[in-house]
Amino acid sequence: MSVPTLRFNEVSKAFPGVKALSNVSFDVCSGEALALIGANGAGKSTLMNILGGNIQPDSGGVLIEGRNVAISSPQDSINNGIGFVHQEIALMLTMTIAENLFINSYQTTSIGLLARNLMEEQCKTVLESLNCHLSPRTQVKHLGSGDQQMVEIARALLMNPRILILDEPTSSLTGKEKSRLFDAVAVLKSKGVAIIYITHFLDEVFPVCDRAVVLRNGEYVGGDTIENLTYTDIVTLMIGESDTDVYYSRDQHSVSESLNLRVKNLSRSGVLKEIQMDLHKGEILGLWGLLGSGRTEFIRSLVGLDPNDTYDVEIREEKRMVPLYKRKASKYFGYITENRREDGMLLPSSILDNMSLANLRSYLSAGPFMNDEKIKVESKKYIKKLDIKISNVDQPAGTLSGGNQQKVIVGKWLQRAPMILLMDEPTRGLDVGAKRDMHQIINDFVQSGSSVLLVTSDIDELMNMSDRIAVIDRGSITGMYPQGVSKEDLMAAASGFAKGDKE
Amino acid sequence: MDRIVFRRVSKSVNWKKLLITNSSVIALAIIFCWIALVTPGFFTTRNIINVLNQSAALGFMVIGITAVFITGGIDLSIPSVMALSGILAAMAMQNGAGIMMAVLISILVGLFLGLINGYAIGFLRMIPFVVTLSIQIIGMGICVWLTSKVSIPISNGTYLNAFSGKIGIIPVSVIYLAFMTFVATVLAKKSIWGRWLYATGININTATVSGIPTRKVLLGAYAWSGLFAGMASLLITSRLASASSTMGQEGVVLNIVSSAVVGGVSFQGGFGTPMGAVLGTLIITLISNSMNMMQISYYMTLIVKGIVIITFVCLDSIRHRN
Amino acid sequence: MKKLNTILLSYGFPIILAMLVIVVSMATDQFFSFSNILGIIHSAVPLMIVCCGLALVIMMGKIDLSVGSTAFLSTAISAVMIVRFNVPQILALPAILLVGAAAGAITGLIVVYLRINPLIASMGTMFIYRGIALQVVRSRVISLPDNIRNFGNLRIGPVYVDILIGLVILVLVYLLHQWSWFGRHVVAIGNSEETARKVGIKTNKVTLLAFILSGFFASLGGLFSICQLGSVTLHMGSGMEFTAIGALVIGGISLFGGEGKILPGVFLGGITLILIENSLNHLGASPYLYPFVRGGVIFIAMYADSLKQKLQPELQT
Repeated sequence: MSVPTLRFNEVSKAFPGVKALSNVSFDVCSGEALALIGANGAGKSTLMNILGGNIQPDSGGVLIEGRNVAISSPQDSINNGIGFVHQEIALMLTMTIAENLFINSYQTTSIGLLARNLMEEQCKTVLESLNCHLSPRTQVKHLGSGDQQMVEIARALLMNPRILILDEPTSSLTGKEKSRLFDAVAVLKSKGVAIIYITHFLDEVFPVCDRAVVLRNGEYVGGDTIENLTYTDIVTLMIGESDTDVYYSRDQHSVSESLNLRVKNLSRSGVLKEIQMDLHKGEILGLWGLLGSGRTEFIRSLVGLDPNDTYDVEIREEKRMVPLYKRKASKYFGYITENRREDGMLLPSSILDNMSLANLRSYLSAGPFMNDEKIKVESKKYIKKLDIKISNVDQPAGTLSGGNQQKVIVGKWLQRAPMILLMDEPTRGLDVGAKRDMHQIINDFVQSGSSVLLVTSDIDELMNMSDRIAVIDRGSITGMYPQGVSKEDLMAAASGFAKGDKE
Repeated sequence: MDRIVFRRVSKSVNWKKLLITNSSVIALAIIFCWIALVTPGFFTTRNIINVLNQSAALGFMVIGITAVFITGGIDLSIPSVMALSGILAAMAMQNGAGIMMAVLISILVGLFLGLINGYAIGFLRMIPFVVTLSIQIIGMGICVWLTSKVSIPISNGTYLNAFSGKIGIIPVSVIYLAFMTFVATVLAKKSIWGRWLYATGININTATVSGIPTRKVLLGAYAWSGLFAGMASLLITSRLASASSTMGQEGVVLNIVSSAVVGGVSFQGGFGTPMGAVLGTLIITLISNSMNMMQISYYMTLIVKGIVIITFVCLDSIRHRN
Repeated sequence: MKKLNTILLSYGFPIILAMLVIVVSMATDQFFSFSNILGIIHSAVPLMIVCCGLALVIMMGKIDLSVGSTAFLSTAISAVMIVRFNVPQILALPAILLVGAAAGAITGLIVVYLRINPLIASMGTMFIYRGIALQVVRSRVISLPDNIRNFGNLRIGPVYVDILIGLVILVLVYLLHQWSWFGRHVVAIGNSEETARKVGIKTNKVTLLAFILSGFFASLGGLFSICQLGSVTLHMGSGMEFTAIGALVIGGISLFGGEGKILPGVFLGGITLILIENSLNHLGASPYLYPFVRGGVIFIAMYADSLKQKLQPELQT
């Protein structure tokens, strides 16, 4: 048996409080494409950061063609023939393809000017090898995202890597662009490059990859050649046995027949495709989708923060459903964003300022002046109700723990008592106790006749909390499941399998 | 070598922090001591009242720019907005308009130009410094064109008395400044607009998600700035008893910006109070005044204030990084 | 429709420029004469050279407001050396460029190492340099020896010598921007400083260098200007930063960074502003109207620039 191009040998890495990788070992051979699969937080990115020289493993190491190599910097990584194509496209839009390819290794002529002809020649060769017939002088901003992805790959190939990592390469591609990418992967394989293909989308694994390796919670849980695997096998490996976490379980409850919200058509070209959904009174609707499926974009559009092509939505007003105008949307929705620090909190401001932020108009006393006493009373009420641990209400919100920050945000919206609360990853980064508190809060909230749209990557949380589950994939709702659907079905639906033939 | 430097830094951290967090107060104290030592005749009632009087108009403009700074923007158009308001009011009075008309013109012209700035920045998403610099140049152009660089005298006694008279020994301008500082402080602290303003400055994304009309907040901040520039023109033209295009020279921006940053108004947005801004104005006026009394040239004050701006912005950004 | 917008935004100013030339030359007799056009280019040369350096900073998505003061400071120092201290011109004139580069370096160091927003940093140095310059000349206009003035208005046949030199400089800066690693890294930073750092560009070094060049070309522009005028006035360079920024935006160099070309951008932009004043002059408008018109034109150019920026995502697909 030949020596594998790349071998991970018993790689372990721990971060404070988390075991990111434990004793992960597997091989990648020349001319093969290996799918690296795992849910969020399975350890894929840690592993790739080790390969890229950004992180050092605690124990174990990397062998390239049988030799033990130390990769202590990104430069080492390049020197060892490892090329990366990152998920976000890192191209300079106003520059040409050739300029981008050689961005930090310009070749110059004897008088110091750029050797454009030479570089363009090489650029063309690399692009041709990917069956990509673009002029090296085209500005990148004139390219579609598929071609931009090709340019990224071409940049990685310029160094003649033995190992190429493709990290979620299709997340911004259309069907046609994808098949071109797959062709390019085939070309590279035929040239003997070892490819690690990281993806959420299982439907891509089968046509592109030769083998698959699955990580879960930092451990290698299985792997085999693609012929010996079915997508159910992979999904089962990804999800694993039932979790040990004890989840909050909801009481007996009933969901009303009447609606709070009806989304008839929400579209935005290239992002959202004719989204339709109903939200009942007192219902928690889970929205399940992978990273980049359009779930956050859907919510932002619904609230009116993003532009739309079509915004056809109805909302309950007293007993009737009336059309909702986009600029009025913020009146009905509370929106707990995915990223607390970026758009959820005013970190340097006090807890009181944060908690009153969404509801300032109702705390007016006379004219434009605030009733600070009322703010204090109301906020304290919610601090108590949500059990937020603080030393005093004037403390800067940034000094709180993640769970308490999240509760402050929830408190901000509960004060407003919106008809519909949109929650994007409300429990991410929280510990078990804080999670359970959050579940209790969500449950109590819908008891009052409001509705919740819950987006979460935590499949157990989703199944525990939701009355129904909508699956979103690449900008459209691909399925609506009742409570009690199996994890496997959900995972498969989100990974593009339930839809049958696509494009 | 590196290690030694490191140790030195870590030892002085507390001292550094102390210095950084109290920079305005320390600056004021140092300047006071320095002035007391080197300027004979500084601590006369007359001179102190003089300083207060000189700082009044500047104080108005600084209160104006404070709102803009809090949003994280900048308003370079204040000098020409102020000059244009004053010139138009003076021209109106020349043609027989009364004091009420003149005041109304000053305020409305300021407000109007501020609204143009705010609309371009809040709704058209243009870059603040670009918009306000353009308005500054255009405004200057209009001023020069209207006046042909000749100053317009103001002889309306009621007008002069109303804005540059005295009550006892206290100039009315100082009273106006005190009053507007109070109003601005109350609005900043107690009104919903103040809350909106600070929230927008600290994190515009959070503010937008929380349902705050952030575009209108930006519009309002620049309108506020223009309004105060218009009001400042009342004090200046009445003190000079004339209006001219030279009132709007770019040196005024230097005074405004340096006052604001010395007063602890953060150039990066989110922090600062009208009180602090007025305090900064006093410091800057003190510097100008004492340098003037020591017969240091005007050019030297340019250099000093330029250094002051860079130093205080630097301190502010260090404070933010901590 | 979208296409029309794009065309208007990209070529709007050349079109307006052409229309302006046609209208004014029909309205007046002497305007469209060879000598007048050469005269326009001649008086635009100092501005264009200042723009050359500033363009590099703006293409990085940053700003340098100190160019006008730098031009003043460097020429003031050298003029004082020549007139008051009898330093030979051969030493004093190159000193201009040295002072300019040093002034740019100081602004650059403040931006890079104190991590202060370029706008406020260069605003600070703008006032500092002007203060020092006024101190140096002791607030008096300094007249230069005749030979310098003669040089500034020297002609070969009908063509001013400084036009030729100016064009050579433009071509050199064009090469620097378009055909050197430095120029490409400047554009990369203008696209995204974050990404540029990630792909391994030494952003601090490039930024500093761009500011040094900005100071250098500001002082070179100042040199051309005093050669033409024969004196260093007290208002030298005041408002120049705005005019230069305006000329750049008119020439298609976006304030958002990354976009635009030295040629023909700087040339067209510089010409346009001078041309507008020249045509106002020929139409007999009051000279007091000039700043207003100039400001208006620049404002419109900047509005178009930000509109283009907003349309960009749509243009992509």
